[in-house]
Amino acid sequence: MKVAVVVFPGSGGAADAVYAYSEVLGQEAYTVWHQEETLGDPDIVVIPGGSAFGDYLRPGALTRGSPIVGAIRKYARDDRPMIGIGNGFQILCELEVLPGVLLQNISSSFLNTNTFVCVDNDRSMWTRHLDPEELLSLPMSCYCGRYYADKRTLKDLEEQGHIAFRFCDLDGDVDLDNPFNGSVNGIAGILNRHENVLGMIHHPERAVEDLMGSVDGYAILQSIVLGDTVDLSGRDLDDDDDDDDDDDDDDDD
Amino acid sequence: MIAKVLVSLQDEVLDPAGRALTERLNNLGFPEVKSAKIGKYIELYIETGDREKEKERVEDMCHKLLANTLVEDFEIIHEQEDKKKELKV
Repeated sequence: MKVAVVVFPGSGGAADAVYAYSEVLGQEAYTVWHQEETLGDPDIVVIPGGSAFGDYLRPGALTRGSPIVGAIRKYARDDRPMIGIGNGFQILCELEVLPGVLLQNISSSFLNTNTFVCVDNDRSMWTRHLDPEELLSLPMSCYCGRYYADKRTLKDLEEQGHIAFRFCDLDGDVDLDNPFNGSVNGIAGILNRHENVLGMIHHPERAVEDLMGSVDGYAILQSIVLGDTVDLSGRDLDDDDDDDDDDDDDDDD
Repeated sequence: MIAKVLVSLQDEVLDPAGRALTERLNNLGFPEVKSAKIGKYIELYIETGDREKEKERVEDMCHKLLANTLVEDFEIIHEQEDKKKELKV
């Protein structure tokens, strides 16, 4: 599969995304500079983490003026698979591809740690290979990771099942009153209306090999790759699912 | 013309930076500070002969980029150009 990783000035996580998809998952990953106007007909688009345009004004905001944005919006509108990781999630919110916004963590600190997340939506093209009973241990690395949306948007997200991931503790419990970084309803990742675009605060591409401390991101990135060859209607995925993610990794870097 | 834009978080949105500032000011001997907000200040030097149009355009800029109106409010202060100098960038 062809995987386009969009690079803005400051997209420091682009190389990690290319590495995960090309070296670990064996796909054809390439970068697309933000001054381009086309994505090159990829099967997957990644908006990687980092600090696009130095996070000036607001994280992700200045990407609004980049030529590639039209192609990103069209790709999302065409119901094709796109993932925004960390700063990429912030960018997709700023571009209004995803609803809501990401604000400063409630602790006012840069959170660079692994946390547990639970899978809320296990039917989308990005999450259907995940076991909703298992927790994922994934790294996050951000200053503005506190998801916020107005009440109406939040209600829609909840009712339509478009919350992909939530912060949780070791037992899988989500603390709605006092979520880890202040994210409303403990939200750590969401899907758009047609569930083809996933935005997540954590970095699945930094959790794909044992030496990274967790391999729980593998199944997320692999999901679209498998999706072409696996009939998902019966949810009989185990035979084809060859990822080897462990369920309880250490949560320390 | 110079347009000064002030952007701040809406009151109902929790502002950890403002909260931290309030606490620090209280600790420094300013207990009268009950809350604080830290916002952004943007100054734009604009070349146009049409002041009314400029106001519309800057408001448009705020909606399109300078503020995220989901969570932020903005205020625009227009000033007559009194000095013939561009802002240093």
